[in-house]
Amino acid sequence: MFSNTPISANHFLIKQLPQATAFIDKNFKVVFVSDKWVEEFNLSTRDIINEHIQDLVGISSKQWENNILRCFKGKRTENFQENYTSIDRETRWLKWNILPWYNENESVIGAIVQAEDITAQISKEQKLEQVQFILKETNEIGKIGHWKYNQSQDIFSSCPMINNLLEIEEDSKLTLDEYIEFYKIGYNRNTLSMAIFSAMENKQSWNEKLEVLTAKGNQRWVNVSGKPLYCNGKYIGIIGIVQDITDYVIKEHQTKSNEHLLKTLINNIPLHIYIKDTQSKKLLANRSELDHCGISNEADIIGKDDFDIYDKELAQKYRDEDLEVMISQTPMINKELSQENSDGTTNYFLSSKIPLKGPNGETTGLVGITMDISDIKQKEKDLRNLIKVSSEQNKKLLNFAHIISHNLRSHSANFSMLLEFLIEEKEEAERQKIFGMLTDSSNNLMETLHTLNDIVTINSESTTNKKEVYLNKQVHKTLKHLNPLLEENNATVITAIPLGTSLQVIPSYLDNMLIQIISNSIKYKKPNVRPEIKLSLSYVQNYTVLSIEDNGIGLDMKKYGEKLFGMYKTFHEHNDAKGLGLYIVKNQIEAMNGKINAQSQVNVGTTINLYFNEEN
Amino acid sequence: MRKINSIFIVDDDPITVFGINKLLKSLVECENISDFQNGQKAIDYVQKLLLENKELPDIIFLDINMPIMDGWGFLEEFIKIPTTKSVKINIVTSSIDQSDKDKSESFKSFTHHPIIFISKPISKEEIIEITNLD
Repeated sequence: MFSNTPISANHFLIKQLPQATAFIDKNFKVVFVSDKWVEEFNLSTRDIINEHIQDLVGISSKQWENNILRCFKGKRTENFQENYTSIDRETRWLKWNILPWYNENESVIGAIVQAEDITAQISKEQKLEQVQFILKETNEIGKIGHWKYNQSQDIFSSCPMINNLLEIEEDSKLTLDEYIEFYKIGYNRNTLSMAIFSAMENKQSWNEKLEVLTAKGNQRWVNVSGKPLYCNGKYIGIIGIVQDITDYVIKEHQTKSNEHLLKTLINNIPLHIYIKDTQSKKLLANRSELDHCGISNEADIIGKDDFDIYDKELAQKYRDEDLEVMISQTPMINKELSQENSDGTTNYFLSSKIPLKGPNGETTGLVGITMDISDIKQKEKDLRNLIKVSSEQNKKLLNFAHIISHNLRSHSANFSMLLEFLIEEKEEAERQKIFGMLTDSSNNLMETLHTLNDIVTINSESTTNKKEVYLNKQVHKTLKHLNPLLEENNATVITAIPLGTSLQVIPSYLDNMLIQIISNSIKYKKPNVRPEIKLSLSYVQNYTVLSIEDNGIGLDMKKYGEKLFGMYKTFHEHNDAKGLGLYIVKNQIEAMNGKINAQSQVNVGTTINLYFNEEN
Repeated sequence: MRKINSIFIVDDDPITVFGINKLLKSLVECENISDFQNGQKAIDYVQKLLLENKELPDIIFLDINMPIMDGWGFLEEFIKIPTTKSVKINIVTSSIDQSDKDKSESFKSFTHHPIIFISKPISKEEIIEITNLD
């Protein structure tokens, strides 16, 4: 059969066809193939002729088979591409061209099958597609666009990304000048113009960070670079790459302003702040910390540890704390510590140390925050004193109020009782007696009111009325005033006050206190013993103490000590005693911020000590 | 008129002493009304009565604020005296200080003597009540 076909004559022609070509009969059996086919499908070692073509090359696609069958019916088929896995498992892309095979009688006797390996082409196409995709995505994600300027033709073209950036229609056409005008006037526009000019003249690339103003008036930051564009080695213009970096710049500005804010805060906060590395060497110290360490420049403290700053013992204590915080990764919060200064004062601090952790949870160092609470401590102390003083004042006031109410009430009770008697009393003599009592009571009330008024005046007297008084001079004056009383009682007064001693006092108070105490010494003298009174001076803490000692009858301090300076307290049967003298003395010395106390022994004598406050 | 053997008035204010005396005289029959200017004088007299084996008073009017020994000092000494007699002690004071009232309350638990707290001026009705011994 084979030898009868006209093909055989063309055997060599077919064999040499430049394309992989196979002729098959209607039973899919190979009648003839080109050498290229043998090569393409790697069939050199096999029998080919009269083999089933599908068995031979392993093609089983439905489309391929259909196209063959259509050809057998004399119909033309379209070329098509298919990937194909060969017997040796290599995947390739093939382009199939299948045609009906006619004999001289124009009747179909089989099919001509041609295969073209287009793997390389497909692969290039895929690569190109991939590159284009990557470019598109990158441009979108990175907000990158480009423009081209063809200098010889003066044509400017931009990609949609650029138009988007400038907020103009995607298909708008701009000229180079129009494009440049989008850049902010001044530095930005000048820089771009210069760069483009330079690229044209000197064929130089450039890269600038500039600001544009969009068609809608929004400000955008762009990173724009340009380079000369060549076609087949010939300069034709410039290509520009533009990246919208607005978000980045805004974030950068924010970061910078946050950083600035943080730095300002750290440096101006009234806390000592520092950061140490794991070796306890300082990496950062704010201004307060620098002041505290007595270092003026931050650079002088970086890399130093506490051993460079404090004495060894203290530094070791701090290092131990650092280690504990860093090893345990547990913050040390508000630990109170005191630090003695060279001038003898003590500063108090609240110290906190917080471990710093790296990305993998490892300790990288610590941040320390120290608060100087010396002022607070001092204020706390002052406040405690103030509370003590005011609670004493309060007690005094309450006591005073009770005394007033008691005294006024006792007078009014007497009035009330006497008046009731008077209403019912018929006897004239008795009535006169009651009237007499009413008058006495009334006089007593007036006296009481005067006394209370005097005491209130003493307590409200300002200490600013203090004057410098020479003590000996004042004592001399008082003694002169008391002379008749002293002479009458044969009293001796010895003053052992150093010459020139002066005190800051309210003069009238000092005068009254001396009169009161010295006359008390006379009043409570021992019968038949000449009174001896001695005035002496000493210094106790911040006080100048004037002591007035007598040889009088004395007082049982255990029994009366607490009440000695109380109001309306009398301890001896003495008609003159009203229980006011020492009470007023106490009020006067306290009004001058001083104090008073007494020592006494029955039948030995009494010493009254006046403490004058020289500070204020 | 009710008869009472002995009454003490311990007060340094002559007007109060006069007033209590006057009210008592108009209400009861009592031969021995004694007054003392302070607690010390009163307690001294009580000690003397004990030494002489004489009877303690039936009623005491006691002021608080007095020189030398005040009412509290007197009370402290008085309740130490071993006696089965019940003496009516009337604290008569112009004080309206709550702490004084509390102090008189606390004394009650230490003694069998009845103690009452009266504010000055003392009234006729209060004297009647006090002198109504049973």
